[in-house]
Amino acid sequence: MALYDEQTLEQAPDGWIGGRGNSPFHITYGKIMMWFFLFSDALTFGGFLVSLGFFRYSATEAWPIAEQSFTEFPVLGNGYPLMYVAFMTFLLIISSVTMVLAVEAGHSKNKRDVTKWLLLTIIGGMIFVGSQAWEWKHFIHGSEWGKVELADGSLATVINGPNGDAKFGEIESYTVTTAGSKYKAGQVLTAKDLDLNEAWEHAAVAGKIMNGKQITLADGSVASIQKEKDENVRLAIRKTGGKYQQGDIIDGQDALNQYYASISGTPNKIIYGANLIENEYGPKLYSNLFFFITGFHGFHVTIGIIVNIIVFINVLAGTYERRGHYEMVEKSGLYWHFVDLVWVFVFTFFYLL
Amino acid sequence: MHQRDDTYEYSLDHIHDEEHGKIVRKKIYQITIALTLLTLAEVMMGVFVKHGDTMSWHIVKWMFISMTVVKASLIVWYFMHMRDETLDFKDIILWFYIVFIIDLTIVLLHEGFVYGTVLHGFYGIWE
Repeated sequence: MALYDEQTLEQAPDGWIGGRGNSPFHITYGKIMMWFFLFSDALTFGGFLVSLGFFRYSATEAWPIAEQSFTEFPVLGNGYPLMYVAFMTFLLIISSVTMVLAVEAGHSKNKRDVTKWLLLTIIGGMIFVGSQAWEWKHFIHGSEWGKVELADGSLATVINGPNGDAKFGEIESYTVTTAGSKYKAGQVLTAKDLDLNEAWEHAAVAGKIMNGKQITLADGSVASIQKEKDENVRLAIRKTGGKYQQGDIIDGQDALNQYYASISGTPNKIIYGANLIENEYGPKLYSNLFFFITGFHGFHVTIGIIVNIIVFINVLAGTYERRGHYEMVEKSGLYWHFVDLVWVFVFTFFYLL
Repeated sequence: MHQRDDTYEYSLDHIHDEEHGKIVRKKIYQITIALTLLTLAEVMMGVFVKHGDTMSWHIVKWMFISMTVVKASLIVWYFMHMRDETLDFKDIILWFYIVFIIDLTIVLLHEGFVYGTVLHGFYGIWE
């Protein structure tokens, strides 16, 4: 007696073997397995986010405030706190909506609509990954001010002054006073000759900017700096040192004096941007966790895009029409919604709280 | 003659006509608007209420968490079609996870806080 024999199926007892109404939970095994996979992945991400909470609660240095660190928008520049991240969240939610509309079109066996919505989902996902890459680049590059170590060993970053946003005076040019291997004395270096900001940052890390007036460039030449005035600068102490406590604020001209004093002379008193060894925003763990969690999430999004592309090709080829149902779109949709879900949580715990 | 295991039957059960499709789509758009408004509210609060020890910040902090949980449940319930599943399945996926993650969160946040005070003691910050 064949177990799968059509005739005996009617008398087959309720159980696991095939047939209408005899599956666990009345859904296909494929869908059940996708849910189980999502469950395990949710445990993974849940573990990451809870460990983020653990490290934040046990940090000895001030934890960065996201609305002060993430203020850039592509093309529009600085001064848009959290706007780009809000755009990314909105984009991922919309791509989730297009995905569920694709699933619904699959239920109506409407191949044209499925292709339309699935294509929009893939495009949304690609823009999201591109945006995440842009965020990473900016995070790694850092702000114009960096984080300085003051004379007493405390660490400080620049915050906005009472009268407005802190403004890093734009560097106009360097006038070479002492010749080096590349530049001659009397030469005026503008943005056309070299990247002024990059030269500033390299010299600051090497401790070669004397009192904000003189800079020693990479080729050994010494130049005077023509730079606009910095405005509204205050220093916030992020880590307690000999004299200053965490949370202190240094105001006015004293702030600027201390800032420039720390980059004159001794090298490695300033950090720009973030990498795996150090970061200007706060404790090392902050940048490590940022890269790890958003990187894992971005990896999941990329896998989701690839899966969606494969499903898209199959939809176009008519595989699911022949099969009789668009269940694969639904399973892929479950994965995509999970990715969106994780982002909602990452967005809250990293950028809002 | 073997019966295939990726069972067309229950998948074919899901096929519906255009009329029902319209109703489903309307629901989807409603949920979309709800999610967008929640996100907007969160971002506005994040931009305008500063971190600190004020009462308004603590209220905002809990509102962030609750709004995020609401958004997550909307996505799971409607977009992932959890509401269409059987009660047993909902139990297995949702309850286990929720109980576990709440437990883990409480334990680790408490441990983190205690660890933090110990570290502060080492660095002599706490007098």
